[in-house]
Amino acid sequence: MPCANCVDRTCFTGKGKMPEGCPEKNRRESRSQESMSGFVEFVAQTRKKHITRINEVIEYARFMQMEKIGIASCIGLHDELRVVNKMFKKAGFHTASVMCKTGSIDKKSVGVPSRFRMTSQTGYVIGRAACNPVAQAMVLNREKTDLNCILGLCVGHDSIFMKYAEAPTAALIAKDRSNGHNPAAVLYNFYGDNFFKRRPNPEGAFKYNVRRIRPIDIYRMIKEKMRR
Amino acid sequence: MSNIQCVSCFQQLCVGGGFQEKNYCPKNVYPEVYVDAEAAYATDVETRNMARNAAIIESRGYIVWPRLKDIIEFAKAMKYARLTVFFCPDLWTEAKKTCRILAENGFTVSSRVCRVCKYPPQMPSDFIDDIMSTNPDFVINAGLCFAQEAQISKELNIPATTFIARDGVLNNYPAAAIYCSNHWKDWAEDVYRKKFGLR
Repeated sequence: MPCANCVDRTCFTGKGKMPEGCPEKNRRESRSQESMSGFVEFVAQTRKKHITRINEVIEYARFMQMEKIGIASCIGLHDELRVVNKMFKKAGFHTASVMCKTGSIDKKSVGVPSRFRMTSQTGYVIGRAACNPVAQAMVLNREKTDLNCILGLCVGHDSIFMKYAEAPTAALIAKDRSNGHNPAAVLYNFYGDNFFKRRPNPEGAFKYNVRRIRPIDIYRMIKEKMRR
Repeated sequence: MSNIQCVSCFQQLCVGGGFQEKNYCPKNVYPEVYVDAEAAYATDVETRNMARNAAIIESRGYIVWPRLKDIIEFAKAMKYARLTVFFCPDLWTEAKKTCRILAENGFTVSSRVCRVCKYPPQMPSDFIDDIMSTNPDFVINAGLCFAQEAQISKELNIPATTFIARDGVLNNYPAAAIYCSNHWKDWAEDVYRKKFGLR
């Protein structure tokens, strides 16, 4: 399914060709049309409203008539968690929140080698306690939350938490330490292209600021050296 | 039923190995959960492997790597070959670029667009049939609504992460809503006055 590389986007515009392997070509009828018909209208309405993601959570919880929201957060985002907890309480929900280093199991017990344990490879102190997403999910299951928000978990811990949690879970903030929790910034600017080696040299600087070396210049340089 | 709140904790002793002897601390209230959790790490091979690789990658690129690099390195460490990117029609260009970067790093990438709010609508269960037909090892959510993402997480059995959290107002940066709020400003004023010795 190469949906991202589609040119004509026939399923939205209604014109042009469908590419090979398009899932719209031979589509079957959906399994559960009647039970989820309200959900589709709700999503379409919230997209028209142009509200932020935190408001989106509140609208969704009100639509599904949920009472208790669980928040699983990173320990580095404790200050952000305070504000989010206040916002949910003001909207009229009960909350339960768990940090990622609960229980403080050693990284040795998970099987991490010693050079990755106390300080990071880039030279920061990260501690010897491992993140514990399984216990995070189990505690929130005991609390009987109706909805779980992920407030900035790492890439692997994110998917472990989703595996063990019983209530529907989704990410409220995607963590990115290098960009201030804005992971999409990599795709928009020059530095992101530079990081993934998509543009090895700054193109504009090469064109206008750096003088090109012509064959005559090399000839002159050699001649100067010969004189000495 | 007690109310567990790590928000009201002020010391964060669990980094060093301790816990608060209070009503809100989960280690104090549910000590039997942590025995189950350690048993889960010991018995289940997949979770143990995922937790190990995530901890290694966290220390390898702490503060330096962006999230997309983390995803690439995690998928390489877990030996995932097939990835699917699942995205919103608002973020078509972003999804195109992520697919190109993932394909350059040697994965076979397939992608699927979300069509819940367009006419004729499709249900979340239909997307899962389409996604599972390609046998992916890993699913990357590049910008979905909160409601759609929560609905999908019930039915997906394969590991998934979010790369972008979609936000229509703040240009896919939901954390900006927190940093612009009055709660944050009031709190930050007090802290930074003490830190820098300002009046």
